[in-house]
Amino acid sequence: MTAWVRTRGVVASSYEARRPDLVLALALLLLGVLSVLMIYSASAPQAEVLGGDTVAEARRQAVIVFVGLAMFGLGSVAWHRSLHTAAPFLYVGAVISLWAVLLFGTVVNGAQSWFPVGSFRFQPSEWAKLAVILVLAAVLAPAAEDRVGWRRVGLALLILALPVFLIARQPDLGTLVVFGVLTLVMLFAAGASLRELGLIAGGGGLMSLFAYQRGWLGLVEVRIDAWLNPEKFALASAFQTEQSKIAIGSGGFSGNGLFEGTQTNLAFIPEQTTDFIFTAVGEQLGFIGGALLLTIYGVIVWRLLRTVAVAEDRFGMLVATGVAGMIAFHVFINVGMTLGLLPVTGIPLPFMSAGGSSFSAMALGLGVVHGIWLHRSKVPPRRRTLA
Amino acid sequence: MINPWRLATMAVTFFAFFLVLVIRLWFLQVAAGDEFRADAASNQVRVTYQQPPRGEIFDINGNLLAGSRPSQSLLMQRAEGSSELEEVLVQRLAVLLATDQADLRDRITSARPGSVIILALDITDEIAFQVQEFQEDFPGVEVALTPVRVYPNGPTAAHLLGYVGKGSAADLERYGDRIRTDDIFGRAGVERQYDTLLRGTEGSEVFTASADRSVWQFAEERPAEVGWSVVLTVDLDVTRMLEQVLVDAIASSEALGEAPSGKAAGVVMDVTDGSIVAMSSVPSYDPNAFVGTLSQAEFEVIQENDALLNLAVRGTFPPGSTFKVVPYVVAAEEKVWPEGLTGPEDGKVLEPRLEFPSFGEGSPQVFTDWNPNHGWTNLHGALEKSADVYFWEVALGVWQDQSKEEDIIQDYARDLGYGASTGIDLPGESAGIMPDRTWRERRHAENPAAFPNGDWYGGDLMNTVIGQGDMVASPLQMAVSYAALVNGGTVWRPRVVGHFVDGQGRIVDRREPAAVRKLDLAPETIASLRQDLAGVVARGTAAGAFRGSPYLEQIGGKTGTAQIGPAVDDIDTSWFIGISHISDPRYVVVIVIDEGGGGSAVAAPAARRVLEYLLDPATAPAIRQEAQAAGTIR
Repeated sequence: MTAWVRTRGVVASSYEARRPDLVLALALLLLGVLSVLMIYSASAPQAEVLGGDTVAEARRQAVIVFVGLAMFGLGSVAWHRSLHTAAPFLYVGAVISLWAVLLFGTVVNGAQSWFPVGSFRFQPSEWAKLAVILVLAAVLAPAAEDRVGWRRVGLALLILALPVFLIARQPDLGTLVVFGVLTLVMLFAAGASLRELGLIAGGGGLMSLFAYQRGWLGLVEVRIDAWLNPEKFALASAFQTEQSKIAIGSGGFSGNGLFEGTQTNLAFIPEQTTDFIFTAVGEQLGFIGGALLLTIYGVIVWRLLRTVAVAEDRFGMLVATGVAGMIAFHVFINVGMTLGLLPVTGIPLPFMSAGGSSFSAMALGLGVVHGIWLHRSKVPPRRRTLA
Repeated sequence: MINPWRLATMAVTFFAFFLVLVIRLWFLQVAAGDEFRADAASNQVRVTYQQPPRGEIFDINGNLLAGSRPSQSLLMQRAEGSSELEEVLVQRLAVLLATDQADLRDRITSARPGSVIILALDITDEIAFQVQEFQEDFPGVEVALTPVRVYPNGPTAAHLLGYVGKGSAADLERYGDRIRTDDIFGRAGVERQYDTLLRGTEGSEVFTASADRSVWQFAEERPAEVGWSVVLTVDLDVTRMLEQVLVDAIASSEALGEAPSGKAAGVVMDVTDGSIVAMSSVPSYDPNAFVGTLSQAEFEVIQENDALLNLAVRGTFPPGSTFKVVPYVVAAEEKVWPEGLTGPEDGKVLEPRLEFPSFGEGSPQVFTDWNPNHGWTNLHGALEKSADVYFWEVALGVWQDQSKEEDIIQDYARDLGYGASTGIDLPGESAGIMPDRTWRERRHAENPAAFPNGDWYGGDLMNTVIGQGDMVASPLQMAVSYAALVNGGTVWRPRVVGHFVDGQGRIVDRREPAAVRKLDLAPETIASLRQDLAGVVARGTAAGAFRGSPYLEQIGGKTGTAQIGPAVDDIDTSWFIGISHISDPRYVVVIVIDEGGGGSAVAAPAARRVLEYLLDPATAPAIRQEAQAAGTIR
């Protein structure tokens, strides 16, 4: 009995266990609202100057947020065991769409990553992330702690190789890194030995270095150079990063106030509504706003890791791990880029950057993990499980 | 299901990411926020500036002394772009203009991005064509007509006008935000003194930038305001005359076997209001040389023999006998007479030398007059013949009379403007030195090594009354003091500017004559001095120089031959200070020829030519009086 009481924080009763995670849902809603607001602030002044529709971008994002919330709900009710079964098919679909985008897609900012769909753009790589998470989870689920085995590791890498090859052709360095890290994290959670993990990480690193040296990374290379030598690239490639730091830095502790950001209003930051949306937050809402936003992400990651701890089966646990890793890395790479910590890569800020594919796919992933939470074990697997 | 340590590792890793981001955010926004806020402020606007045409400078008769001419120039607006592109541009421009690459690069990179740099003035049509034809090779470079300062009279009145050029670091600091490194502005003379009025107000256009700086939105315009033009009190013709006279005097000094230093200065001032009619300093320079870029070597050539110094205001010379008017006035006003005499008319046969009792230790000091045979002399004769002994005896009287202030002669001199700046509206004026006991003690206290003697002796006073010893004064100070003595006691603040005219031709700022102080001198003293100054010319030390002058009756003056120091006997500063219309004084003419020899032989004949020019109805600057009164001179 004592054990039951002590674990109340994690799992209390079968009734409670099936209650939706309102904290997670609220966090998502908050991000969605903030996203619309920030995109409005970053797009309206310029649209006004150019004589366009000042609410156009914000309206579009509002639609995206609604679609995203629906995706969250859809994911929540999707029976993850059916996803387990469907995973290979989803993966094949993702690979085909990634291949198709190279043939028929639209080039934006030097990367061929999009299908135009009406006034929206469909970005297969965002969905592919989810498909890869599912298929990796399916492949790794039967393994046991420290018994993943080289055969499974090899299969996982093979699964990774196809989309990585296709995305490298776009090229999209950020997404590439996300895929690599995702695989690594999921292998880690699945119980791969440190030797296996070290070998993969080392091999991956060497391959990247080789590709960089041979100049296969194109645009990406320039950005890495700019990141390594900002002075040399002053006002050229490092321009974005400098402008981003200026905008965020000028926000100070409490920010310049909503719609009061000079850098945001004058549209100094390229790609501000998409990859650099965090600059709008930093300038207008300051350190308080930025730290609060990061805290919301922290809450989401916490809820996801909690699901990892109590998932009903290994497939669910691995999916939750994959989604948690994906979101945490997106935030780290994106915000790190706007703060000048990391090179500029085209990675969106989850649930904030303008863009339907990213928001919908992420929300769907979040929903799937939420579904796993709803179907979690009634009995906690271990007493000392992390809450 | 999942190994707890794996879960814990993941959790710690993920939250470490967030922690890193929050710390970095704190650093950017809170620790370094101010810095970025400043960057943000300068980020959003770009300003282009328009330099208005500089005001012109005219003489009192409307002759142009300094103006502007259009020059086909090569301008460049410094871009925001990458330094690599700029480097390519520098190399192309260096080839095009056939100039030094390093120098060009230096000039471009020192300018603020967005500002306009003058790359070259007076470019050939060929270069202009090159730039216009291959515009894409020279981004941001354009051919335009820009105003260039021009001084039509070359070296004439150069010191008074000054010149324009790029600002030194100190100048830039003086102006603060209102000036930029690529501006030209007044470096000397009137150009410098009234730079803020002449330069006008810079206009600007403010643009706010948007989307990756490709769109510039016009936000605000401040139109440029044309600089004010200035009309001087100076007469160009008199200035030309004065300058020629100085050059000729140096030549005549050489002909007399002297070894003049080549330096000379002259001032012509209106004694009725302190207006400077002419001012010259030799050697002179051509201010046009400073337009455009000047190499260090070229600058050194110009600067040779201190040619940039305006000796009329900045040079200090021992005044010699020209200073005797001061003890003259002290004697008459304070009734201090040589031993045995009772008044100005009372005279005696002067001894050729005077033994001046030295107080404290040391033997009595003995002074010998330059002329041992003055014969019977009273006050009038003493000035006419420039008798040293007479004034030494006056000094002795002051020294021995316990009822009088010891420094009474110096006090009179200071009231007349010696030992202090006159306050003329020109930069770089020297105050001269009016030595007395306090001055001697202070100088010794400040630097005992260089000036071991801190005591003031009677002999020092004797040196002072004949304008020797430590005493020095500028030619301008001499003009001001003589003007005050002959005009009845008004010490004017000398001025070179009559009035300013704005862009529409309206008189906007009239500079009225300003008196520094009014001395309370007895009319008899003034009358007597005028008479004796006339006597100097008629029968005194300057009689030879003025013999046969048609205007002899209307001229007064005083010669001066000052030794540079006791050690160098042969090298004399040659002075003459003349007064025109001596019965109703109008102009004072000061001539000093450095190391020129005797005042009677060198400076006096020079001054005669200027005085006669001023008195000749054909050449007298009468028109200026009328025009000034009517206020019609532009």
